[in-house]
Amino acid sequence: MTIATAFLALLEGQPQHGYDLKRAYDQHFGSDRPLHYAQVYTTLAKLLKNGLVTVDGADSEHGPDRKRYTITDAGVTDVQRWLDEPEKPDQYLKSSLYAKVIGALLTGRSPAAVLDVQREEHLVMMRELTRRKRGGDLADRLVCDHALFHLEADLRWLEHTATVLDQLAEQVRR
Amino acid sequence: MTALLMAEQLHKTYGPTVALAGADLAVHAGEVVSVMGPSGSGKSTLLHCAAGLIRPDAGRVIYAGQALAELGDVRLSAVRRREFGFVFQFGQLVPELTALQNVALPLRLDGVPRRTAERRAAGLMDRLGLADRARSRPGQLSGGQQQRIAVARALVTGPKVIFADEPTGALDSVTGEQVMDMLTDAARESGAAVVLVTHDARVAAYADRGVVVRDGRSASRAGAR
Amino acid sequence: MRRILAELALGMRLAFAGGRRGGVRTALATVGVAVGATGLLLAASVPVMLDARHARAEARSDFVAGEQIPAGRTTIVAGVDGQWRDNQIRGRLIWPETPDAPLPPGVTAFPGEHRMYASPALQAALAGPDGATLRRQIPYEVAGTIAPAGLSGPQEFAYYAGYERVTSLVEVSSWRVDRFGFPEDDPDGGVGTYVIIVVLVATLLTPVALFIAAALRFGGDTRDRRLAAIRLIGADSRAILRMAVGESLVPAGLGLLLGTAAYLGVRHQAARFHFLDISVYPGDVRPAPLLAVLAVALIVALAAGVTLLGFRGVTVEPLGVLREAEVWRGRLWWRLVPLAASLPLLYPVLQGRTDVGEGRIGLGVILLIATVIPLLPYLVPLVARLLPADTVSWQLASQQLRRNPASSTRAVGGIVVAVAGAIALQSVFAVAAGGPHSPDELAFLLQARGAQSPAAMRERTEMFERVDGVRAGTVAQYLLFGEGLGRRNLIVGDCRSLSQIAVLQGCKPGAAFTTQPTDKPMIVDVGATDPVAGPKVAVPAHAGRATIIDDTIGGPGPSVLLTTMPAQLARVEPSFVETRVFTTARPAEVAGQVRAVAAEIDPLALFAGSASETDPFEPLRVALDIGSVLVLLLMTAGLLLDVASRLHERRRILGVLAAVGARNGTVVWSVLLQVVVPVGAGLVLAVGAGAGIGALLMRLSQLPVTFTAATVLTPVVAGAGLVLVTTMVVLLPAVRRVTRTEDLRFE
Repeated sequence: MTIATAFLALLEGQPQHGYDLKRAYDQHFGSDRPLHYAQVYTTLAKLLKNGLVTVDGADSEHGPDRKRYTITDAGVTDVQRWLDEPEKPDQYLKSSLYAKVIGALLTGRSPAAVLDVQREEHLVMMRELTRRKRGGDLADRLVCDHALFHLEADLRWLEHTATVLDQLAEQVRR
Repeated sequence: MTALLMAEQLHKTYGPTVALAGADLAVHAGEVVSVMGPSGSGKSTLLHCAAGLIRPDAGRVIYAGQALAELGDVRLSAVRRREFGFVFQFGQLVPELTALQNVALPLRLDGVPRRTAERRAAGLMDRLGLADRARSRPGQLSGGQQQRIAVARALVTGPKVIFADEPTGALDSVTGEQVMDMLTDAARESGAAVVLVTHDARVAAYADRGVVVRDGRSASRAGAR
Repeated sequence: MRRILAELALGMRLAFAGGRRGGVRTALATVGVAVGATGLLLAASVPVMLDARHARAEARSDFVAGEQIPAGRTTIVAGVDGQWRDNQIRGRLIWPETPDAPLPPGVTAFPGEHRMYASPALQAALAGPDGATLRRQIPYEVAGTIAPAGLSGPQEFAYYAGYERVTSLVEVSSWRVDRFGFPEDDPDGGVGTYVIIVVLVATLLTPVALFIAAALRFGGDTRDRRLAAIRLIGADSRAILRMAVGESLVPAGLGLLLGTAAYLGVRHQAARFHFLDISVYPGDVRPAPLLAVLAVALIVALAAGVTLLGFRGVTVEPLGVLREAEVWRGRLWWRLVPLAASLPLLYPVLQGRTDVGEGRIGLGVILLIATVIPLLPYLVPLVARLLPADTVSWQLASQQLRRNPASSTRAVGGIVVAVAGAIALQSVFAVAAGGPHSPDELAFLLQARGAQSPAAMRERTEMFERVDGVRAGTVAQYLLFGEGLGRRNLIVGDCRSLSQIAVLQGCKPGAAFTTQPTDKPMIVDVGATDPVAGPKVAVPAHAGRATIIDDTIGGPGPSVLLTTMPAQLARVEPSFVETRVFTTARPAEVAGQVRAVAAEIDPLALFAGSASETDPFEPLRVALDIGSVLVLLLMTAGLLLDVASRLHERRRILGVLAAVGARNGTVVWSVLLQVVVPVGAGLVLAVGAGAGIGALLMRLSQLPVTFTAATVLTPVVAGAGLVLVTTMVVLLPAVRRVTRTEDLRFE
């Protein structure tokens, strides 16, 4: 996930000032690495250039941090595309998938759908591994089993997350 | 291609508990479909409805172009006997009968004479590598052996669909894999479709595709790949 | 010790914590114990009851046993026992010789001539329906009521009537007493009756014990799981057993209370019943203390014993209940132990001896009845193996019967015992009641005294024949003087009367007959007590031949039968004037009127009914019928409980069978066959055992050993029918519920 996608997701909830965007980003996505203001404005400039956000000019005389940004239709489509695309099942899945769940919650979309898409992707992978495993020798089996057990752990996390979505939604809304 | 078995918009409540609230399931001939979901999600109820074991409150199940709800108990039982096979989690073998007699039971229930039934059962058990257990009684067999006898029983009538409800639920992972290998291999060989209800992703991975049930609804698109 | 008590107490508390099934189990076991306790307490009261009755009978006894008491402060009594329907009537005609003569107990003053003191039951009968007929038999005016002290029981028919004529018949029809209260033999029914009562009690109580066992077993699996949970928190296996025993003590205790209440209720009503001519005052119904203690101990021991037996092969572990797979070892030898033990005890009886100790026979018979219980589980797998297993339902049923016959048959044992006992007792009662009465058989015999003219004898015959359906004939019999062993008899009567006692060829008035040629003249004995020579009568020369067909008449020697009264006998009093009464109706129907006629002729005349007016075992038979039905109902309830438990244990298997496409009928049949086959096998066993015990009882009661299809088959059909009907009605819906595949949910 990029900072740009995160900003779009945040803006889809409501138009915001750059300063608010940074604070929201830090709270939901960047807990251990707060954004620099420079990163905020370069990212916003890029989004503006691509036509994914517009500036609400009413407060423009008060400097860049007083500009209010609003998402465009193209921006909304971009967020949707991001959420629809399952992550590749790998071991660094957690952080990016978590970000997607938050993103879905922030934008009022269905986090469960995000999880379902991801589960299906995992299962497809697991089926593939099971097929390979059944055709292979013991060494192949063990290698496949390693991956399968990891994927299974991811799936358990997915299931678990699915059961606490309501709680999570409440926390994000606060 | 139309599905062999179609369950559409099934609803089922047990008293205050809603087990199914508009679940769908489609099974094509010869494919293995897994049904996953957390406990209480209604996945077993979905299987039971699809197999004609219970009647849904609303919605319909169509097998080979015939709505199960329109069949009387006699014809529905006959469909279960001849067209379907069942593997449950545990406790499904009659303890007083030998493994061979247990495997022969569905044929006997269908009116096949005892000798013929037991000869066919013995042939099947031979092919599945279970011949040495034919004369044992369930109490003398391990859990994995019992499940394999149960798989043999599900296969003996040459069914079109095998319904397996947590078939490895009471087994350790290695034994569970052996049972799953045997079930899916034998099903593929005979061209039977398998509906596999499980909460275990590694068991579900034996399927060609999966369906997820949550809160009584089929949550994911049945995206085959 | 304190800990043990605490464990028992905890167990008792658990009896109320078992949910619905636990409640059913406690309630049913309580009912079983209550029925058993009532029965045992009543049985324990029988000796006291009989003792009290015997003491009352002795207190009023005027049985002088042949002793001649000199006149003085004496009362003259004559026994005029009668009968009214099912009731024996104890009648006494009395007259005091001095004003301070002894009064019988319960009577406050001597009744005047033709006045009487009567028991309350007799007074009620006199006032009741058809009392007028009874009044003809007892035509005395009621002067007072006999107090309980003078009666053997509240329902006894008894009276003391003032009758001055008895003073002229002392040592003929009456006798003197100087007191009331002579020793009397215990009116013992004999070994036969005793053993019949033992069989009755055993037949009814053994099934009750089996029912209690079945009730305590019901829901045992829930109990075991609960105990496992208690083990988890640190109870050892012995403590678990004590808790289980404590739990079983609750129904035992409640049942004892309920049973005692029922017993007191029965006791309160005791005065209203009479049974084998025995009625008792409630005060006389109390259990013999030792027997009562034994009864209570037996019930508590039974409850605890059944519970402990139920833990055989079961280990309650903290994490669950381990059941050793019940491996059926069809060993026969120990099953034959009761039979082997009973046969030597009963051997003398089988040889035809009746002088064997009651205790020994009672024990032998109880063992013989108990034989069927262990034999049944052996027989059932045999039967299951013999029948070909062609259908799936029978394959399922027969495999279960063969693998685990003990659990399939334990509820059937009680039915088998009840049916076997019923067959035995019904057979005995049927033989004892005798066949139907034939119109040619003598029904009643009146022996009176006094000189008789032919006209008077004819009049006496006609008096009886005024009763509908009655034929009679009157003859006079004379004893002959100076004849020793092989002495002759002289009988005078009209042709019709004589032909009732002998086959005569061509009888017409004036004819004479002899049974053997004899020509010596006959000297009639006219002495009242000692022989006195009287007039001489010649044997007519033209006498025809006769063959006596009534063995109550005459002596061993030749008889001379005359159809006309010789003139020289006109004033001689015959030794007996006998009126024979025959009837085409049932003797019991005409008995009331016939007895009335007899009493009108002479209340002091000897009158006997030779055909049975009542069936002496009728009340026992009624008790058996009611008891059998109750026990069979109880047994059927036990059987249903047992089958319900087994269905509960096997509900998964049955559900799976239905899932894999078994027709409902297949499953229902397999369950039904598992009930029907043991019951069928058990009933075969019951017929064998019942017939054996019945034959034994007939021998003991010195009755011919005969069986009729009705007495054997009625209990069998009743048992089988009751089981089948209740099974159908109650069980089939349960099977349907279990096989509803909806119950396969097990997430």
